[in-house]
Amino acid sequence: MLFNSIEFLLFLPVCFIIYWFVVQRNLKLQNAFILLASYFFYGWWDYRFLALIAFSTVVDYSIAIVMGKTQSANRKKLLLLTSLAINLGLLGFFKYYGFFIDSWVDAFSALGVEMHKSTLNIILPVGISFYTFQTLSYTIDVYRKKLEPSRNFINFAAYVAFFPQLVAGPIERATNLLPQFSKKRVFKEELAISGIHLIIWGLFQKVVIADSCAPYVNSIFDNYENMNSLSLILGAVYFAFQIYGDFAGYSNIAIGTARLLGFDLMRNFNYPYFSRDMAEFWRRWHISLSTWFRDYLYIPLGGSRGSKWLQLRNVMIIFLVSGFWHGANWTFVFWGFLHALFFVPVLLLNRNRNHLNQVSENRILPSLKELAQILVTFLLACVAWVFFRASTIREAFDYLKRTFATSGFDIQYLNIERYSIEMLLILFVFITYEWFHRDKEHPFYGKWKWLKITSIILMLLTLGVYSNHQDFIYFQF
Amino acid sequence: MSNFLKHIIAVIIITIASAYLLESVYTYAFTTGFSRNKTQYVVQLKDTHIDYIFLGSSRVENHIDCELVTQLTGKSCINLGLQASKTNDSAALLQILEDNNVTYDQVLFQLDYAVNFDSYAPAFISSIAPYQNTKMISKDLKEQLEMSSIDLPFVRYAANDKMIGLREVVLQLIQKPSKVNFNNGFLGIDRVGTAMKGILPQTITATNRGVQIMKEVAPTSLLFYTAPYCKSDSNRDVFIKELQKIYPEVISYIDLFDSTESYFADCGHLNREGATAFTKQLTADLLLHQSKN
Repeated sequence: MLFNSIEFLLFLPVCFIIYWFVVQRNLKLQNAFILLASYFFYGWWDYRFLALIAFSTVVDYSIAIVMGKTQSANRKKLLLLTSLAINLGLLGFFKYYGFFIDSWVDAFSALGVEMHKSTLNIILPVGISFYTFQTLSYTIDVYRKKLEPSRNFINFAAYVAFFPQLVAGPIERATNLLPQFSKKRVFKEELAISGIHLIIWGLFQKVVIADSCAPYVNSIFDNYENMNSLSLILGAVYFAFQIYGDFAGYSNIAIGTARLLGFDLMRNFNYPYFSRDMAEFWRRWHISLSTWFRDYLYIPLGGSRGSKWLQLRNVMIIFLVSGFWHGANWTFVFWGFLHALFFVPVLLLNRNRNHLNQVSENRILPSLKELAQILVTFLLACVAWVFFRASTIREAFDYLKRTFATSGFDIQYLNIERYSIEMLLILFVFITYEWFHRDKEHPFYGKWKWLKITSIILMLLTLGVYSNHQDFIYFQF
Repeated sequence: MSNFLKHIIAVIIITIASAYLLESVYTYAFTTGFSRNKTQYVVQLKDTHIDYIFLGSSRVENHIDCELVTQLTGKSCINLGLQASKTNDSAALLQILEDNNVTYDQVLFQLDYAVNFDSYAPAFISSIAPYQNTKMISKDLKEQLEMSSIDLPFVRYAANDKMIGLREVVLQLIQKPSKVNFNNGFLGIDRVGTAMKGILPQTITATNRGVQIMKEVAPTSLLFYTAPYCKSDSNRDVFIKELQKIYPEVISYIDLFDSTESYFADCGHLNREGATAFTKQLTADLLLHQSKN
């Protein structure tokens, strides 16, 4: 069930009414209802994969309980490894099996050894990367004694399958979300109203920004050989906003939906394209994933302790793994590698914590220096996005080569019967909204709140893409 | 909860009010008299006579130059071919002409593999959607098009945003002319095809609702013909044989340009030069004979 679908438009109010008017008096009923609703939500795509979530839930619930009872450090480690092996094994099988087979065969083929390719037609269960990381955070935290194992299966199962963030995050830590299932939720008006605002803003990001960019991006990337420099630059910029609008939009709708049910999820995006360097970008982009990697991979590897070489190694590992997490394709790995390269100078110069404050704090417009920093960071992000969007690394290099080698800044008429620059007007409006509310989580504050809500609703109706609506990009991950 | 409910109600009221407002603006834009597509043009065409009406898909829009037909015959002509259209779309256009008291001598319908589909092209549905709540198209046609009687404001514009979205409304309001001149309706292709390949179906369905409707609307003045296809089109011979089995009256031009590949833009479409040659041939064969009589 997509957040921007008619089904969800019916599903959410029904859930809300049952949750707050029928089962609100009893915590067990609240959680059981959330579990039921979450399984229904997920089963709407493919009910067969519910078994996978249920299996993952049972395994981690049981392992954590045994882990909590055992005193032996070795036994605890063995249990943790079992959980890691099962969860990552399932993820590896469903997501990376084909990739490994293909890469293996290609490698041998390059050496002149032809191998028979025996691939399985494996369907990727939606959101597997997200809920796998969420359950892993639970077992790791129990192992580290940061969290007591849950003794309530319904609570735990509802935490794993919590529908607002089940398929594309934010990837919640057990330490934040699981305790919320242990307390009876009471309706908080302010939280629910902010939830509605986030849903409206998220829909705008998805339906107006991401989905409007999509046809331009497809047209330019699919025909990049016939595009001039201007169109190729615009293609990369549009993709940057497509993926941002898509993912930030989904996250905001997820957080907003959770708030309607009385839950508070972590923020996932904090205006990443206003970052002044790559370190700041990664503190603002897909925050739940980057902090997950920080807590469960980077710090255990040594983090920023130790020599510079060790730090560089850790940075490289975390970005490569992050790239690989996104998908079974070398383009994602290379995307991670590029980000590591962009990050390294900041790290080497000890400037990775330079920009912890809000950009242009207490000022309306950025200084020239800030503007230059923002543009350079955005440019680097766009270069990396080309690899993320291209089908192969070779295609991405060719795209970039043509961007600089192809002369021509004429406005091209694309095969979608639109001029290449048309989307810029909508993006300008979007950037303006974001800039003037960059210290808040959405624009609907202040005395002009209702005017802003009305303008966004008008834009949702007039500029939203409904006839050819796109799946959320991050569902594939 | 009361503040929250008030908030939700306010959002819903704003949404509904915006939808009503936009519905009015959009409908006004599409029904004011300026045409940017052939459906609009046909809906607004009233109480007139056109001698020759060509109906069909892109193989009509790109192949039949009505100005040339008029030059050769001295009679009026209109090309109502629509890109990627289905047979039902042509039937609907003919019904609108009939409802609008537009008379004609001859309707020439180009039969192609679209007779295998009993549906309307999404582009046609989009182009006719603005008239759902108006009296500009008949109730019968609305029923035939399965236009919903329960009509939520603005939903049809949102559902067809690609064709009748804000961009098109703006172009409509500023009266930006379409690239097609509707008095002629011809849109030539300026390229010569290379390494052309195509594939035609090997079977033809026994009946087609659109063809049936056209036969009912214009029983005595309807002519069927096929457009030329390139000779490397797979299944071409089987296709025409099967088509003629179901529609024995069809006049075939399928192999007309087998010796002149340069007339094709791709396997299923003639370029401008080919269109001129085809229009001349078709006019000589099917129309000049009549105009002399």
